[in-house]
Amino acid sequence: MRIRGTNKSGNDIKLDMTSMIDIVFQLLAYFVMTFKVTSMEGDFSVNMPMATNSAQQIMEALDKTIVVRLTRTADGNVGPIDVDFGSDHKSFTDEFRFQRLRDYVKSLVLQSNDPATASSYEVEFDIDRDLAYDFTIRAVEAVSGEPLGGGRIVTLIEKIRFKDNRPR
Amino acid sequence: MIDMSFNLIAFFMLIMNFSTDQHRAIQLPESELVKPPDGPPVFDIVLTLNQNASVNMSQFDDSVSNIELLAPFLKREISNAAAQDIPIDKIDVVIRAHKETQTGLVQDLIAKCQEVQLQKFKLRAKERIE
Repeated sequence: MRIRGTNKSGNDIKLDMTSMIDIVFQLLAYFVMTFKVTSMEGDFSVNMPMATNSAQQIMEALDKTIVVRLTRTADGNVGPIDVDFGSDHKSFTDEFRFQRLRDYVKSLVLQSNDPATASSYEVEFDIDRDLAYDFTIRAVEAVSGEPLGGGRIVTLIEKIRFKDNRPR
Repeated sequence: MIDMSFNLIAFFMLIMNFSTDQHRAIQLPESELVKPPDGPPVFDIVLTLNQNASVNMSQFDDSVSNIELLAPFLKREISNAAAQDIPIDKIDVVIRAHKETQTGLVQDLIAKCQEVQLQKFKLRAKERIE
C-alpha cells in the first residue's frame, strides 16, 4: 500500500506551497483593503392615505393634531420651529430647537395617563419645500421618540403626516 | 497559518457589501431612533431619490429622470404584488432620499405614490452611532 506523500521508492514528495500562499495573501489584502464598515439603516413610518375623511372625522382628528411648521432661512438652514396645538402656540428659535420640540411633544403625550389617548395624537408637518430633507428627518425623529441609551427608546407619536403644500 | 488565512478570506467574502453604486451615491439622513426592521417586509417598493429629482427603483435598477414619469413603474409593482395576492394597503413604499434633497421633492414623490393609491410610506435613515 502506498502512503500519502511518498512515491514508490519511499521518498518524501515536497509540495511547493509558495504560489498558493502568495495568492491567499493577495486575496486577504484585497478583502481587508476593500472592507468598509457601514451603519445599519432603519425607517420612520408615515401613513398617508389619499382619500379625505368625513368632516366629523376631520374635526375629531384636529383635536389631537399638533401642527409643526419648519421654515428655511436664506442661508439654507432651518429657521424657527413653530408649533400649534389647539389654542397653544410655541416657537422654538434657539440652537436646541429640535430638543425643545421633543420636550414639548413629550409633555403633551406623557401628561395623558391613558395610553389610548396618548396614542391618538397626530403630527402634521408643514415644511418649506426648499428645506433640506435632513432637517425634516430631524423633526420627524424629535416627535417620534426619545433615545434613553442602551438601545432603549420612548415612543412618542406614531401618526405622522405631511401637509400638501405643492404649488397649485 | 494557511487555515487562518482561508478563514479570514471566507469571513470577508461573506460580509462583502454587494450594494449598488446608486445606493452608495445616496447619503441618507442620520437618526438615533431608527433600527433595522425585525423581519422581511410583506412587499416593498424601494425608491431612491437623488438630489436632481431622478428616482431609482432599486429592485430592477429602473431609473426615471423625473418623479412625474414614475407612475407606470409603480403600477407594474402593484400588479406584481396583486399577482402574489398582496393587497395594495400592505405595500410599503420605502423612500431613500439624499439628506440634501429638498423636502418638496420627497413630498412630490409621496403624492405621486398616493395617486396610484399607495399609502404606507417609510422614510429611510441611517442609524447614528454616538
